[in-house]
Amino acid sequence: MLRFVLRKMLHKKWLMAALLIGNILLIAIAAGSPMYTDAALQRMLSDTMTDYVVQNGRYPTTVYLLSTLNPNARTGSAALNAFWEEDALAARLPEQLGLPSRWLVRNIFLSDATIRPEETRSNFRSKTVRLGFLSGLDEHAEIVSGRLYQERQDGVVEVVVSQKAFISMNLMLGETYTVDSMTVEGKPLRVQVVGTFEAADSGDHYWYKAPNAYADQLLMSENAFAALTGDLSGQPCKVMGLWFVIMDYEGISIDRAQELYDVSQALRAQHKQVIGVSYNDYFADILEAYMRQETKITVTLRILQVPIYALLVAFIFMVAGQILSMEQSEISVIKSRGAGKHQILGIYLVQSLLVAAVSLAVGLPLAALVCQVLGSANAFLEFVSRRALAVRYTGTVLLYALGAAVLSIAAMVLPALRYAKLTIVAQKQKKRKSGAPWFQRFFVDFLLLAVSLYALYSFNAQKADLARRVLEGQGLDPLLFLASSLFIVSLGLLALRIVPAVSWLVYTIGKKHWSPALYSSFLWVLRTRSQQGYIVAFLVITLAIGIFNAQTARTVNTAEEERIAYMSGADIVLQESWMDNRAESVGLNPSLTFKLHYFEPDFGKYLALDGAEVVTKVIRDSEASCNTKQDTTAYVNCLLMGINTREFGQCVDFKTELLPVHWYEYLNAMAPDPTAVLVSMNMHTQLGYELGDTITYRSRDGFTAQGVICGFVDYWPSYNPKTTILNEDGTTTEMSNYLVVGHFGYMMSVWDAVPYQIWIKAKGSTSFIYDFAMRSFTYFTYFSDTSAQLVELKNDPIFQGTNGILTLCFVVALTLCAVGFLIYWILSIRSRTLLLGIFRAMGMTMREIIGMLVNEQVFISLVSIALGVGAGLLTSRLYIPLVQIAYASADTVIPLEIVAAGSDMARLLIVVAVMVAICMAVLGVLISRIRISQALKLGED
Amino acid sequence: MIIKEAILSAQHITKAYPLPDGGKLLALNDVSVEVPRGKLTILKGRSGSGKTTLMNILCGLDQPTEGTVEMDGKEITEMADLDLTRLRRKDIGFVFQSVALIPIMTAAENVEYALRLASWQGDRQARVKECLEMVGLGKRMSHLPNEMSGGEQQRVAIARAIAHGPKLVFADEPTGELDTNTALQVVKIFKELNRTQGVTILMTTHDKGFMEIGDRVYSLENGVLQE
Repeated sequence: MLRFVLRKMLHKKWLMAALLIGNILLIAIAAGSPMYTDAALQRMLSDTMTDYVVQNGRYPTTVYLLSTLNPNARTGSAALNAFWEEDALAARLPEQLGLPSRWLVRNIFLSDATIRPEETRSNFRSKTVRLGFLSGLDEHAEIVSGRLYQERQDGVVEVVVSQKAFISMNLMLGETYTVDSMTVEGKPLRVQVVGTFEAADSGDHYWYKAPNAYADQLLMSENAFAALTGDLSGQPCKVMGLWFVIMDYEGISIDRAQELYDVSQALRAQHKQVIGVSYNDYFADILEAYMRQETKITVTLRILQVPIYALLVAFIFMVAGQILSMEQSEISVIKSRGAGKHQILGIYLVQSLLVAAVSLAVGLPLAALVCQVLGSANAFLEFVSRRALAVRYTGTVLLYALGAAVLSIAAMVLPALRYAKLTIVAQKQKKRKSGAPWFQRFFVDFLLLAVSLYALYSFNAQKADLARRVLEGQGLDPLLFLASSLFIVSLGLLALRIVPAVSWLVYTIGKKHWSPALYSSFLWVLRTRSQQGYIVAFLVITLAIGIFNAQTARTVNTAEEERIAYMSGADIVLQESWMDNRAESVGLNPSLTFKLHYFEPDFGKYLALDGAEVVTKVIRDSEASCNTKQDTTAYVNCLLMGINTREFGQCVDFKTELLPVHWYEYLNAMAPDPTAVLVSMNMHTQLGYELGDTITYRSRDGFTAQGVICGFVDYWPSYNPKTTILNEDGTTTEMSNYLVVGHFGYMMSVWDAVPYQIWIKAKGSTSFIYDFAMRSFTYFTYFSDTSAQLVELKNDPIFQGTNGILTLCFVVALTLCAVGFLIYWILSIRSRTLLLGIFRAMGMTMREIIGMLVNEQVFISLVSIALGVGAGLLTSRLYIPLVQIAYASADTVIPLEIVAAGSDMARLLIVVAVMVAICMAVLGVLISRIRISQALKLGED
Repeated sequence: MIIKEAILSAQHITKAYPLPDGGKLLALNDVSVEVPRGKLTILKGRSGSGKTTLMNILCGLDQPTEGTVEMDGKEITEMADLDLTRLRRKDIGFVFQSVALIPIMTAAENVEYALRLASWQGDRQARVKECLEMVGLGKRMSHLPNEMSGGEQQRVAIARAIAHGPKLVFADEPTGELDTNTALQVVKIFKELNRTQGVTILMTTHDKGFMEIGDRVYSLENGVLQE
């Protein structure tokens, strides 16, 4: 049977090749995307951990245990056991968490021990100290003065102290102190300070608590402490234990995130039930945040892939169906000669297994490539070389690949089921029956359309809900994306009604005048509708998905990029630390008026910056307020900006479509009058201000000034008109933000120097500002670099994955569109060899035959292509505003614009044009090869 | 010998197909035939004797390796494809062994299509009706080919072949798949056409029963004409 199947497959090598392409793509993508998700998540988690170390100076995988033991604990008591249990836990934690241990720092001490010098000092009577040990001290500390403790036989215990403790407790090196509360063999305990220490290496993570934090501890060797306290029972004062378990974070793989989090939660809960102990770590929060992100990323990326899978499976189904319909007479013959249903199915099962096996063999290695492609996506159809992702063939990946293989086997074998039942007689009978396809008979297309439109309607009605999902950190709503896919599918099915209707209309209009060729070609188009179903729906759906994906990606990217640029204001915005005379007001007689005064840092150095094109000063006070119109003594919060109109206009790239006229017009309007202000539109609509009204505004420091309103703006660089807040009960509240923009010079003249930001338009790269800051040791209290934020955005796993997947989907859709198109037409022509022979014999010229096929192309392919493009544009218009919400930050600041990059459309149309051209060329060759006499002979069989 | 009233005359036709081993297969070997105008000429031979090949050459669908074909005094073996096509469209009607109706067209449309191709001037519908009635299918005009029996289809094919008033009708095994009665009916139609419309008909058959009906009979065996 295998040989039979192989021969059969070889016979249809082109269809088999198409089938393989579909399968390989399916498996590569199915395996590649979880691989990508896995690698991207791992990268994200590792980066978060590394960032944590950089920002906090400590390992996120640090566990911090604390235990307190009351005085006079009895041996075997629960409290004492609990104390030692903590010590044991600290030792076994790395193993329990499965993380390599770096350091275990144990710090056990007796608190409230009172010491007094043996030889009385006038400036030192007695001090309450903590007396204990710090494990590993000898290795990590550097003795600054004196020496490290040693064991002594004379009953005196040597201790070392931190520099801070030494100074703050006023200790003296070599001095011996008596600890009255502790007795050794009946006599009070004596301790001698023999040295002071600091950290040997300030970057050493051992010093989770810096040496200075041991400001009240006298530290002895662990042995000495053990000799002194035994099992800690019966101690006269409170005993405390601190354990810092510092573990390696690099080994944390994302697979273990949940497990580690669970262990952490369990330990936390366990510690809550025991009095006197506590458990703390830093990785649980990171892991929790990570897992929230993980769900969002995984869900979003998975949803985005659904259309690719659907397309690929539909493609495989279509090609398998083609193969079957070409083989149906063979199947019938085999059946009539006694082959059972199972044998027929067996043949197709073997065939599909072979295809699946080859696809797995090729697809799995290809998956790694898909993964890297996804990882290097920078924008739609745009790639950069990034750090390669660590590709892993995990169980999930293999599972996905196998799942895809099973799916495709099903798509290949299921259609055979139908044919396997038919005998040659039944097949001939069936051939005669032809009616509308089932989905038209049951109006499935209208039904799907209605469902998807209803979903659109209800999502539009609940936009706030979508925004809330974003605030809650959830991803794309699966139903929403599903609705858009359904919409496309329903349009594809609807096209099956539209395409013949268009041809019917044209046919009917010119019925009397058609040349024989056009007449027969119209009849062909109209009477073989069911055969064209696949290609029409397929063209519409692939193109629509391609366009929808392209526009989704472009819109999501552009919206976010524009939002960043808008909210940042300029390429670089910074503010130095401003000194003021506030200190003078302390203790000042309240009756005297204190005038706040700022000291302006040197501004000239920014003008001298080489990489800056325009530098301007901008007062930006987000805690300012202004009075309302109704009650001039009532103030509402507002954002106050003070600008130099000309420089501001040059410095900021403002998307001018946001305002009804060019934004320079507004700047020009306020330029002549120093008191003129622009205010936000909501101050007109909500507070009732009109042009020419006078408004009083107040800076955060309480300085006030008056302005005359000369214009209302909906948008302004760095101004966010609305803020959405997520309430505790899950509802959201929208808050209006007000804006007042006045003249910088006017404010400065009325108020003196108030802190301002420096807005810089860069000539090219913004790296000059970092050089400048490094060289001049300038510290900024506010710093924003738009280009850096954009890079960060591009590296965000969600954006990157979305771009990657949408790009992939676009490419796959176009590939399938082209392959499907070619297969359909080549097969369609080949199956009509006899008919074309008849036409030729009856006296149709070659030219007429070609004209006939061109007409067919126009009314099947071109109409479908036009419908597909239209469907894509329509879907984009309807659904992208909703899909985009999932990617936006909490606030959609500026209105969304559906972005259609001309280049995408051009690419798409070029692919389509090339595809049609290749098709026509192939058809030309096929037709010219048809020998009439040969073709007619075909009919004799 | 050249017959004066012959509408079609083929001289020394040879058709050779190259074989994979370098040799040649002679499908026709030096065959000469004359088809008298307005008569029924029968080309007889067993399956594989080369009669379809000869037929295709005679009607210009295939080129002979050697020899010439003259139709109405015009040499067609040298004709350009376009001219041949025009000739087929106007002056020739075909009835193929393989029925070969256009599957997407009804009986009436099939017939009408021949009229369209030949730019028939006049009432096409009436002519279609007339032709279909002539073959006894006046009642089945709006049926699609796959809704008709083999005999009915063959009769539609005949109606289509004669509709545009061709000078010559080529019928390749028109009775091949028909029962004796139907076959006889078909031949009767041909004779009728000879008589009423003056159409010349050339048909091939392997059925010895029709030998007497033909005005002229050629017998072909292994590519060689038998006397």
